[in-house]
Amino acid sequence: MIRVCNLKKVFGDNVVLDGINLEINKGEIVVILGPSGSGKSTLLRCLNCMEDPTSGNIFFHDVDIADMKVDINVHRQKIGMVFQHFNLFKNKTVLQNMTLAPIYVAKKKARKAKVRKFFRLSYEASDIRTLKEINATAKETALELLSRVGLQDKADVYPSTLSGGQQQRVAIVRALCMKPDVMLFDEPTSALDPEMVGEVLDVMRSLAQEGMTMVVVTHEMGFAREVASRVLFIDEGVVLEDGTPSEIFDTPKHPRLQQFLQKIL
Amino acid sequence: MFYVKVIFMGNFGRKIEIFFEYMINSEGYRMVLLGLKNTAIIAVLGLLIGIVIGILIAAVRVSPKYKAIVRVLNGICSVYVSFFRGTPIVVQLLLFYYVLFPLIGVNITSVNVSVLVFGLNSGAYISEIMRGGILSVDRGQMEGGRAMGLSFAATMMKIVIPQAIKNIIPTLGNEFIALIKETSVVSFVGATDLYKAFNTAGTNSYEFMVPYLAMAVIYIIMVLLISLLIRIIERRLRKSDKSL
Repeated sequence: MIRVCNLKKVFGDNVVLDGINLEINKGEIVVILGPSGSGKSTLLRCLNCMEDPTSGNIFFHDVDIADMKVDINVHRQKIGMVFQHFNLFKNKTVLQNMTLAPIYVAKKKARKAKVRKFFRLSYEASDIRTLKEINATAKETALELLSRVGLQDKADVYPSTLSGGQQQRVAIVRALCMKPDVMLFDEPTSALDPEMVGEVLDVMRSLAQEGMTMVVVTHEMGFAREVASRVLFIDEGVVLEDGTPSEIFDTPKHPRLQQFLQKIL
Repeated sequence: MFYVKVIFMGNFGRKIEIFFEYMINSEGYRMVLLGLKNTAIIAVLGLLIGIVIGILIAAVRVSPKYKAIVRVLNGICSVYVSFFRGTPIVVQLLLFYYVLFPLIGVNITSVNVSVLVFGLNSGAYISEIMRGGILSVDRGQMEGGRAMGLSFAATMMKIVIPQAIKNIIPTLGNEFIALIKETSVVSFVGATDLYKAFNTAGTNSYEFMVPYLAMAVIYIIMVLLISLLIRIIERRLRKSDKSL
């Protein structure tokens, strides 16, 4: 689903990613580990081009999204992302946070289809929907997802009134509203109080069970061992080890990984 | 000492009488009302035009610069801002009224020119205020929108700018107050504003003390009312920040 070829990222003269090759298949749950400053967050942020790669290619469904000519927004709609600091829109209610992008995309599609229809070009009949229909579907999906994470009664409040754990759960379902093919998690529990980590991990766990393709940067070793189908260890911008959780945690080969595990476990 | 006071007060009383006589009998109040109307029109429309221009310029200036068109627009905006911040407003008024519009052969009233110039001028200032406002919004808000597949422009318009506006309301209020006071120079191009009305009253009644005092009082009242309005708006906009 995602194929990364020889990805390099340089900030000034600081080489953060130094030739990463990686393939992520449908249904895989990839956990990226690494010491701080190893480039794991940068790698994740390159996967949806939140950071523009310095060189290399990133293929998403066989389209090179690192190419500046590609309309990145279309592809980002299918790549969900969850941030360390939630990044919920402060000026929107929970429900508006979730429906904003789906409504925006559907409206754009409808407009485009109408124009194509007018010029008698081929178009998807299902794209032409009234504003009312668009709003209603978006709201329905959002409320359904909200109730899945147990926050249905928070639909009309502003994010600032929620706890960190609640905000992160909203952020996850907000990304799910776009029906993404893959979800990227950038240290989703690092900014949370310890007692709220569990509720967020539970949501991620259930998402994994449903077969969502996930790429997770985290320091939660328990989660990595239990949920991941594959673990990557990155240091100094290079993938040093790539294997199943048991290979990584029980029989680490690379000395840097052994050192890393000793420090944190 | 007592004597001096009596003379002074007596004198002042007479001056007030002259002022009111002039206002009522010579229909001076009509001119004052017209001046008040024009001052309000120039300040309010000027602010609105300024906000629109300011938002557009600020959005261009914070846009990523890898597209050629953005770089060109950015250059235009820089020139615009340096012109309107670098010359006195009186000079701009005179340039537009006596140079630009005659050159392109357009007939335009002095009030309309004033609205335009004050709009363009405050646009330059508001763009800087707005830019600061946009930069004060957490970067994560933009990232959150972009990660959902919204374009830069859409995220800016729906997420970042509404939050930026909330942050800059107090500064924007200051700008509005400054704008109202600055409109007192529009008589340079012959527009009838508050200053012109009271100045005419003074000239015609040979008595300047009371008209100018009344003018100051009216300006102060306007500014106080606006400060009050700004505070009310600010409180409304802060609602989404409040915890339940």
